[in-house]
Amino acid sequence: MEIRSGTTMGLRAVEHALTQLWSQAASAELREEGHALIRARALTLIICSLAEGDTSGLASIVDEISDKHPCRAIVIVPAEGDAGPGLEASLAVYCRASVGSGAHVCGERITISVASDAVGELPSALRSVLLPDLPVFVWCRGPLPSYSKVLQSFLDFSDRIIVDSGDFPEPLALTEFVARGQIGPAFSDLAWTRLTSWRQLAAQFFDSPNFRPYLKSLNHAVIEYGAPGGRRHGIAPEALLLGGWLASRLNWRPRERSPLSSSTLELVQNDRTILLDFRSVSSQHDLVSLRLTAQGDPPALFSVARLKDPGCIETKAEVTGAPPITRIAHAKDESLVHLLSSELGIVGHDAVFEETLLAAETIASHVSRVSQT
Amino acid sequence: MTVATESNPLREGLRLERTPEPLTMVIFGASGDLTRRKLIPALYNLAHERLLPGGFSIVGIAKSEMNDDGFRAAMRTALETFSADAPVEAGIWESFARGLRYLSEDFRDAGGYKKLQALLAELDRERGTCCNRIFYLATPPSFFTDIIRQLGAAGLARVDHGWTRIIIEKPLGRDLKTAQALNRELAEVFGEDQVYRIDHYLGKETVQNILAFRFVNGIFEPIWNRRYVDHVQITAAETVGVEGRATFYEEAGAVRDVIQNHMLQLLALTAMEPPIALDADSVRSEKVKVLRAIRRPSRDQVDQFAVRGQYADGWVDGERIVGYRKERGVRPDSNTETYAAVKFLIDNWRWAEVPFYLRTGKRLPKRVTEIAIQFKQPPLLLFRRTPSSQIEPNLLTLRIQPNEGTSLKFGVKLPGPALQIRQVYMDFDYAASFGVELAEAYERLLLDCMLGDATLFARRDGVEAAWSLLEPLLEAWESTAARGFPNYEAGSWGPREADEFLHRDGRRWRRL
Repeated sequence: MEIRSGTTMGLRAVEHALTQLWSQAASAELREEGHALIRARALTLIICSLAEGDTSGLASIVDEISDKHPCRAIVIVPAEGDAGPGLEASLAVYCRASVGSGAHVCGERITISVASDAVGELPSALRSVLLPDLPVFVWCRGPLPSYSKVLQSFLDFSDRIIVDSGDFPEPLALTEFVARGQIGPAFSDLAWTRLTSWRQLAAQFFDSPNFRPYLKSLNHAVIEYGAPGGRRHGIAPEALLLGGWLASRLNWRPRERSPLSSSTLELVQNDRTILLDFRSVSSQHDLVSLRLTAQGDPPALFSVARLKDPGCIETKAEVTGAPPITRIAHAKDESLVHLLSSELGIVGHDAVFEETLLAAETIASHVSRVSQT
Repeated sequence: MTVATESNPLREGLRLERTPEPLTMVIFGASGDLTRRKLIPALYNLAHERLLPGGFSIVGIAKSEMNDDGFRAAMRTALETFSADAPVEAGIWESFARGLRYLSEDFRDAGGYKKLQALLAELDRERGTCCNRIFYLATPPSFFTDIIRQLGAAGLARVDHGWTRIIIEKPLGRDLKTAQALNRELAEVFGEDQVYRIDHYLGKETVQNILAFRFVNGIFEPIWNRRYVDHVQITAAETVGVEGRATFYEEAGAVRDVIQNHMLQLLALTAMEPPIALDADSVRSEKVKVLRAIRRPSRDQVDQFAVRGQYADGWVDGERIVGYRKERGVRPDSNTETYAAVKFLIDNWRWAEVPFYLRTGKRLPKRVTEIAIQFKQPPLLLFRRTPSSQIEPNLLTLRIQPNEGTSLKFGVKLPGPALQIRQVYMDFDYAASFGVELAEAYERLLLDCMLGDATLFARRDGVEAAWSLLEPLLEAWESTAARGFPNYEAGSWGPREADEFLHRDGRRWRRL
């Protein structure tokens, strides 16, 4: 069931109009289903689509996200044409059977269309329709620079801002915001979220007490990434973030002298040198494989690699002289809905992500020196 | 190779759930129902969610003749039949199945344990299982002692490297004496920190939510005591009958099957003091304290504290049901109770004179498990013009299954000129609020055991305290034939005596 406001309205009228829509929905629910309508809201989700013109499909994304995170969703889109008020809202309330459990889940959606000269009014208007006492998440779609001014204004009232650096021309542009530290909202990058399976599978090797000592003798890391669809040059952001994660967790620092190439870097940990290789391969996937080689007695190789079956990833631990231990793992759902849902479950700064981002930026700046010379 | 003592730095931070060290799970009774219905689906789901370590292995042991491939095929069939998540993914299954092995052995034969030892060593070498083992006794209790002793004799209970744990399922004894004997057998071979006694209720999300609800929210704890609570009702009602387990049930009955374990755990979680920490022993110690504070009636007083029942013919879910004594495998003069209602009084400062009424039964009208906390009426009823029958006490309900969630009943004024009060429910429903399916209890419990977290498992003293409490009742009921059995119709809410039991206290059972 979905009930929409028949007309658009100014933002002052939104709360009252929502109450009326819910009243209609409750009557309909009682009439058709014979029971009262139950709804819960856990957060406000603002979807800023000012930079991303294509908003088709957003409603269904919001619906699916609401299954796990019942919310008031506020979708911000550019106004069509320049005539009319600067900010106009249209509303929808809905109840639907959850895809997962079949349970009845209800939610509300406020779509605000913004004329180009009314962008400055947006933050104040948004504050009037936020749910009290509940966290505010902002998902900014599209490349960062195109909405960075709006983003600045969101910093005031947001608890978490979600972007996807896969859409950025400069993949690590978020660093500027993260470098502010604990002040202000936390940041999420869906490119980082896409790495969760990889990080989990890589970390699992070293949960074994037999393999953990190899962490201190890793001497070569190879990260393969797919050609990024021609959208940008350079190393895919997921690959950079994965490299940054290893470096920040294992305390690898780039050696001061020039890197070996535009994709290979020497890092050091104490007196030990580690080669970090980024390799582009032909693949539709952003991340293809991770291989970690360790010296030791005996040496070992740990790898995580996508298989031809897109739903599967293979992990392999090969210690010289011993049978390899392989496993096929389910590749985590990387749909947009799943990635966003993961981020909406986190309140507070993700210190590991922030340290990773800074480390990735250091790595990127070192390899870019070679590109420039 | 040096053994790592430091933590894994790649695990730091959010999002990465802790996963266990590599291990082998040895399932005794692997051809049985529990393995097929619950254990393998739970383990496969854990593997699917990448929560199991690489190299995770299972050794199934049972008397049925089978080889490794036969066991794998049987478990694949079980998965397809009983797994909530369908379909089975071929790649994941093949990887999972590579770790399955089978031994066809008599649990009493020492030779079988030598073979097991050799197989475990082979798995350590080939699959890197690091000498970590869990022994799961998915067998009838009559085999427990043999298996425990044989594991000890074979040197499998304690190892120089790695860790070893043992999981046993209820029934943990059939009375205090046998429970103590079982615990002694276990203690001769395993340390208490190696023993994991499963009560699958504790793995339910909604049961874990009891602690979260009580101790995350500051508003409830100040009223969670005798000053504000009138009484607590805990119900575990089933619509099903014995379902082919008559032999077991005839010896058990409702008290042993449900009250001694699941329901007393629910009571303990509801009544316990806040623990000083959320570690296993702190939580379990508080639960044991509550059980020890419960007044133990003498045999002569049992009738004042308990009512028993047995179902007769009736109708449940539109189906004609025969009475318990007519079920296959049940004696025609059976004295076994299929219904029990028991009043517990906790003699401590928090709960003195607040009765906890527990009821459970088979072939009741609905399947429902819940904890209902009824609060006292206000000290003064100001709304004199409102009929007093419209003013009901506040009720907080924790629904364990189905319709998992929490609700609070309170009174509001009806819109209009008259001052009329109507009761309303403020309701949190897991499904309607978070439209996701709740995790299976066994997945959580198995993972916790692999991680060495015993919080959701019963401790030795808790098991014995629960049996001790029920000893007079069990002795009284076993030694006297029940009057008037069968005494409730299948599809009703139990015997009339159970209603009278509460009426005597000026209370009544919730209408569910």
